[in-house]
Amino acid sequence: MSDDDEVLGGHVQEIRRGSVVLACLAVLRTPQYGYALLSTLDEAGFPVDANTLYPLLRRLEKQGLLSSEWNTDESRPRKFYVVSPLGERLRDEMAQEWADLGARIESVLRGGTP
Amino acid sequence: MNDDSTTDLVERYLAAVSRRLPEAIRADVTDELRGTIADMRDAHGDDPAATREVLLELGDPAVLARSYDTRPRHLIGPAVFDDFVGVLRATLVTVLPIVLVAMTVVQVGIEGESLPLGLLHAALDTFTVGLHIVFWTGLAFALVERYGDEQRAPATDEQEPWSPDLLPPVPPQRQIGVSELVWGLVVVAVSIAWLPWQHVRGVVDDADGDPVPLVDPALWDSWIPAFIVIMLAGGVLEVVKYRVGRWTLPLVLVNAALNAVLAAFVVVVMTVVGVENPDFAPAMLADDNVWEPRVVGTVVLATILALCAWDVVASVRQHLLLRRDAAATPAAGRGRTSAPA
Repeated sequence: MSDDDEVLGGHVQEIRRGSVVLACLAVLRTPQYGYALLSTLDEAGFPVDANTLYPLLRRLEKQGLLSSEWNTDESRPRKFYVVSPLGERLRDEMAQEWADLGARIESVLRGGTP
Repeated sequence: MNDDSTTDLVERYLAAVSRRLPEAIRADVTDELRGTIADMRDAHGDDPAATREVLLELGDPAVLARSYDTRPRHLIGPAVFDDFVGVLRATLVTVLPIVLVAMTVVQVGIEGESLPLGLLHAALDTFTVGLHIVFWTGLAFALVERYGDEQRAPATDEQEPWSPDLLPPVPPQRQIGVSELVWGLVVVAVSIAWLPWQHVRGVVDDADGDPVPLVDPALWDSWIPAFIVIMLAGGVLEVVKYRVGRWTLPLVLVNAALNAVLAAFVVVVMTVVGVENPDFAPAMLADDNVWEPRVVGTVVLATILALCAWDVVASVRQHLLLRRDAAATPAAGRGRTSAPA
């Protein structure tokens, strides 16, 4: 049985993988620093490990989907991330793809053909 | 709350991550990570074990650093790995046996070592050559992997995109490969080159210090040239065999004929004409060596005859395999081959 769980876990993880990027791009409409984003995503039902999220944020920044700024006003300097105009455009396209994919999955699960 | 030991632990963690990061992002990532660890620790409340838990959550520093830095961490990647193994295998398989045989001949035949000791030396030399081959081939492919990327990158504009038209025709199934060609030519070259060589460096020297050839020098007027002609014919056959690539019936027949000629020649020369230099045995005995010309002659003759016979038998077997395959796949060369071996 535990073998089955392991297999299922692997596939579920595959399905979820792309959703974290989309969730980040959605949540970061307003600037947030890493740890706050981690909590927001967790509350929204996207539990992510810190060691996954931080490298991901940096990758998205390198691709130009996020921009970042250090805020040193408070005692603890923090790096704030926000979606760039490019990020917004791609996010909307990804959201459309997500919706279409959901509909198509729904359709094949019901046994129909598109 | 930030007592020395926990701060120390955090800084040690940060140092372990940052030293594995590329210079360009090192400071930035480290600062961000420091803030994150502090935030995460606050979320754990006043728990003194919080730092340990946070660091455990972030995991192995090496793994974390790797997820920031996605440069390749291999010398030879999947794109060139198959070529690497292919070249390495082909080189080792062809070169090492030649080196082993050549060095054994040199050590035993020329340096005059005993067979076990000569073999040992030759094996050590072969090992060294093998190390060199592996190292230089590996280095060459690592350089290709690192700097040869632009040419294989799929997304460059000037490169023609792959299409089915680029597929090469199915190569005919080869029975006779490069290694066989190399081996054949080496055998021919060595057996011809040895004849003049023994006049330069012999197994034994005479009283004046000149080498005493093993083969009777009188044979040079006709028998040795004839032998060289037969061996050269064998060399030509090796090349033709390689070009054809398969044991076709004409090839099998010519090969059998040539082997028969060589066997007959060797039998006649060794038993009727006599091959040994009359000066050789006395020189050998004078040099305190044991020399049994009859035993050595018999062994050499038997070996040559066995090799000739085996060559013919092997070629016939390959030819039969070829016929069986042709029968099994009427459209030979269309694609699939059924031969397991």
